[in-house]
Amino acid sequence: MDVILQMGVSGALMGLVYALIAYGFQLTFATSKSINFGQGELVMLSAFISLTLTNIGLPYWLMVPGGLLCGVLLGLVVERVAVRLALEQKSEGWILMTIIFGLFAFSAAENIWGRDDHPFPTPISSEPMHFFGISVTPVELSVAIGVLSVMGLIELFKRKTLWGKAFEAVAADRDAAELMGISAKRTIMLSYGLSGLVAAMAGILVSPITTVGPTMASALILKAFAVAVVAGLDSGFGVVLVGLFLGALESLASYYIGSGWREAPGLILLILALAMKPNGVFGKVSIRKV
Amino acid sequence: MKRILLVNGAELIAFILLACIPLVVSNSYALGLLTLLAIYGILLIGLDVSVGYLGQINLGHAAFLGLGAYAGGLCVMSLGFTMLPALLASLLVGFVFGGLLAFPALRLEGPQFALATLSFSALTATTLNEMESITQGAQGLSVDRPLLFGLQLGPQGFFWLCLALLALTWIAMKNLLSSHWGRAFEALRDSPIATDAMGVGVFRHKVAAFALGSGLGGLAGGLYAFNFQFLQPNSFVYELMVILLLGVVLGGRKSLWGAFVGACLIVLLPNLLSNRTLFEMFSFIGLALALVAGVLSFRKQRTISFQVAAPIVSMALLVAGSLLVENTEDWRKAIFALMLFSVVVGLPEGLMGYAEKQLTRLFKVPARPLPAASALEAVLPNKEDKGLLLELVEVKRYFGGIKAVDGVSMQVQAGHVHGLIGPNGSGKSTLVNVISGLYAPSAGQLRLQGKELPKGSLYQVSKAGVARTFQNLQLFAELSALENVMVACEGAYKKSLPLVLMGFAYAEEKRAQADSLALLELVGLKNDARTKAKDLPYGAQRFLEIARALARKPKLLILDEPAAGLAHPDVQHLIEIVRKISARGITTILIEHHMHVVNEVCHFVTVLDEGKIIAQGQPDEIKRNPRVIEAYLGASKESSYSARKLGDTALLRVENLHAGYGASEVLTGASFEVRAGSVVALIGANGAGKTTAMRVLSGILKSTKGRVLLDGKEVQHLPASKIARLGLAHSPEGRKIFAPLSVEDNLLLGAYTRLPKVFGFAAKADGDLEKIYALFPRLKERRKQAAGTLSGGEQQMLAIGRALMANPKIILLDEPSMGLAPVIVQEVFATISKLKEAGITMLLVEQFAKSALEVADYAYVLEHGRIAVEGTPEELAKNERVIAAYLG
Repeated sequence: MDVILQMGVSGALMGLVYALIAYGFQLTFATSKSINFGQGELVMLSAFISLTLTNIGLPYWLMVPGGLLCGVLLGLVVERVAVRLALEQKSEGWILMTIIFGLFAFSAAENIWGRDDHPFPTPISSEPMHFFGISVTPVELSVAIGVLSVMGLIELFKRKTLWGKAFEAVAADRDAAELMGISAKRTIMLSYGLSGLVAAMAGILVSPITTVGPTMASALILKAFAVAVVAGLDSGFGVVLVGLFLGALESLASYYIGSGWREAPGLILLILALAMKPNGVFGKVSIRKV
Repeated sequence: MKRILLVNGAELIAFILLACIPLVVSNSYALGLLTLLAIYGILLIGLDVSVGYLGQINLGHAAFLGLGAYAGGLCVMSLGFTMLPALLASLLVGFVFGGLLAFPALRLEGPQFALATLSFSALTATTLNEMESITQGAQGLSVDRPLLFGLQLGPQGFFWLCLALLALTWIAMKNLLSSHWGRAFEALRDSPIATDAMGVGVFRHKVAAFALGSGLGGLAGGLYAFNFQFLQPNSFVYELMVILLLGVVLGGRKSLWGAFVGACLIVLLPNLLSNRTLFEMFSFIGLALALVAGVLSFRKQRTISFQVAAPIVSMALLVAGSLLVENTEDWRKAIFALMLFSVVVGLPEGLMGYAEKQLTRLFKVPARPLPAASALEAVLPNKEDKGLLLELVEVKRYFGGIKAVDGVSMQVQAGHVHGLIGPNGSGKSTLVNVISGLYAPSAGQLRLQGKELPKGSLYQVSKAGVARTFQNLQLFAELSALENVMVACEGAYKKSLPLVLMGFAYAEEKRAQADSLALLELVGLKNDARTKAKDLPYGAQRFLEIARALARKPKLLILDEPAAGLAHPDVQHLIEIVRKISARGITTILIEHHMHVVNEVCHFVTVLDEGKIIAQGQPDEIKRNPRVIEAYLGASKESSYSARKLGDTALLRVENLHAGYGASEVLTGASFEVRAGSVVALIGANGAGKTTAMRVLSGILKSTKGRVLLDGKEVQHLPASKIARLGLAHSPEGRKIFAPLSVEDNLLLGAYTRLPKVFGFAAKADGDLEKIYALFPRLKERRKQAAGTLSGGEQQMLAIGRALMANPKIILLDEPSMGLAPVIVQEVFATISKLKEAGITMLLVEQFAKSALEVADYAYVLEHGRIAVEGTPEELAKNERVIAAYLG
């Protein structure tokens, strides 16, 4: 029993990272109905950049904003290079284009930083602490706190500032937002910037646990896709619940079936969810129109 | 003949050349490459089915290659299969798994489909890795090359086997793709809704296409296994998938040659990269091509678009890389990415797509000849049905709280043209969507010839004998006019799939062509048979939809606003077409806004308003029915006018405005002006271009010609958000409030341009909010409520309030009364009067001409996209042409 609880809790904490990346998909999907298939590479690139910032001597608390800023810039690059043209043409070309972007980013990282995994230094201790017989490390806790605070801050921005409300307005009705003098183009850029920020945050939070390497995000991103789709791409905080659930589930699966099967529950869940509830468990149903 | 020689000749020569190479070249490395080329050729042809013909990004193809490889390998190693049975097993495994994946993936589009296939391929890699007892897991599985009819194949023999299979695949796919199957694949890519509505099941075709492509992936996998004779799960992961996509996209989608060229590229690229000079040369050629294209386009358009600039930059990066980087092989993926990026952006149709076009032109390859058209009598036999054809009993359709159709009972007599009319938002389109199966009714019964119609399935209703056109065209854009009709041909295709693959469907294909030509002739499009639907003029597109629906040989034909957006001569042509159809005894339901069309062709008319029938009868009676006139023109109480003298300065001036949607020109040279401080009404029948004019003025839609001057400044080229900042507020048709946001947030966003964006905006907007709340007290009560939960009238108030929050120079009010109950309409107009007294300049578009004239200072009547009459409200109210514009 204790083992199950222990596995469940540490899995769920990792699940929050998936939720955070999935939240990044939601941000861009809301404004432009597109998502970045190279988001995993953004996580990885931001982690490498943050590592480099640390290596040139920046203290942790300066490195974090630096890494986040790079994430924002990378998000903007993705929007300009891989998304904008397809959106203008009203095509789904962005799927292929963001995949291509990811491929390029992966190769660049591989060649610039090498193929090996690097440890990611953090001032936060990884000495386990014990609550009710479950051991949790401060690093794991920092992940939870980081994820929830970033998501909370962005939600606060969306609800409490006029820019944020404009963001919501574009998501609700793009044409009407334009009529209010809100530029949909800039709002979409903003959403990609925020999505890049979220990816960078995920990279910084998860790196101390997973180490940094070109392939660090490839498994992560599959599960983030699963969370986003299972919850629904417009489900808001639904991703947190699904992320916690999926994280716990896969941790238990790897314990009971074998660590090689880690990814399986998420993938099966994703295919099932798409088959039964294409709009996600917490998503909205759309009406067919002609 | 020339066509056969050139097209089939090129294919034959290519295959013979490939087959002869091993006789001349004995280099085993080169032979290995050729074998791989043939295998990848099969693989990419399979992938092209989903990526090209279905138009979906498929990220699961590498998994099918892996599954096929392991299936073939295990069949040989564990079960002792020989070559052909093992390859068949590979093919079947791909086919079955493809079919299984297609079932859940079936309902998905775009990103969701990509994600489902991506997950499948990751899941497959995991499974192959973990089921060590069968697959040997990560250690890898050694496979012996099995015997073919007792022969042990050497490298040469195996190459010939692969090549033969490629040739077979090529021929079979060519037959399939030029049959009704291939057309169905493309049709469901362009419009799944119309595919269903034309009685071609989206379901089975999508599954079949995907399973077929996956089967080819499996077959390629079997060959892959016997070629390398060693398998590892991690050969079939995401990276390979991306490379395969690269092959298909670079080579050119929807093209067998494209797949072949793509395969060449994939096979040769690693060798290209290892040879430094060769790679430098290629990247320079790439850059040169991109630059040439850039210069040519700059000379034409005088600007540098992203499509031109991006390939140049990425090719320049490639050149820089080739000069700077030490080991190009390490950068393999980045190089792929750059090449793929340039091609996707700069040459979306791929290398072969582009080359095929140029070569066809260069060699003047003639198109396949068409057969003579069938006799119309044979295609559409005269129907002699009599009596009741369609009966609706208390049909209802609700969307949430909105009662779009609220208890409609009507009967359609066989052989009639039955008109269905009513003002905007009266529920006509929803009603035909229920009849045709797009929506299931919330309640009620529908019977066709006494039999219950299937509910909520376009496909089944279509099979029951109902065919329809769509208000917003749903053509198969990439198919030719002829092919559009051929997709729908009822009962023309009887040959089973294996016969089609072997090329035995030629006769029925010709027959379908001849029948379809007869229908094109009926609507006057015979000479455009080969033109792609998307390249037809707008009117022709409307007629093509009618021909396509007729190919269903329907008992009941539903025409949903066929005259919408048509120019005057086309409307006349449409009337003739409807008459011809009617003469053949086909029962027709006609939804139409052009009243003179209804008057000329309909035997009987039903009028809807607010989801209910308000009148039925002969067209002449309907025209005089006071309830109908009221529904169209507004309440007929004693009129009082309140026009004032106009000021001198034109705040908004519109000169010779042209605009439309795609091929349809809705505004055809409208000119009018709004003086400062006045209220101007723009009235006219539905489809006259009122809303289009508003959308152009606010910048949501771009005009094609003409000028819009706001306060003397040209604004027609500005984006909507800039025009809004210049002081033009637009309360759009359908209100378009931000449903999930609160009422107060909606109002705040109305003032977006003049408020601080982060802090203190609420305080600054307080005074303005209070003014709006004073005008609409009910909004204040509901300030914290989500705007979507408001009633229709409240939403309209909110939309007006939101526009006022901008402190605009002018407000455009588009159909403020649409879909509202009469009491609420009065309230809305009372508000407009108040705003008028407050001196706010307004341009009002309104269906209810009478109400609009009562509040206006001046009015224009729009007809067919230009101003027909203008004057003071009193003058216009007496003008017969105004009523005629509405009621024909």
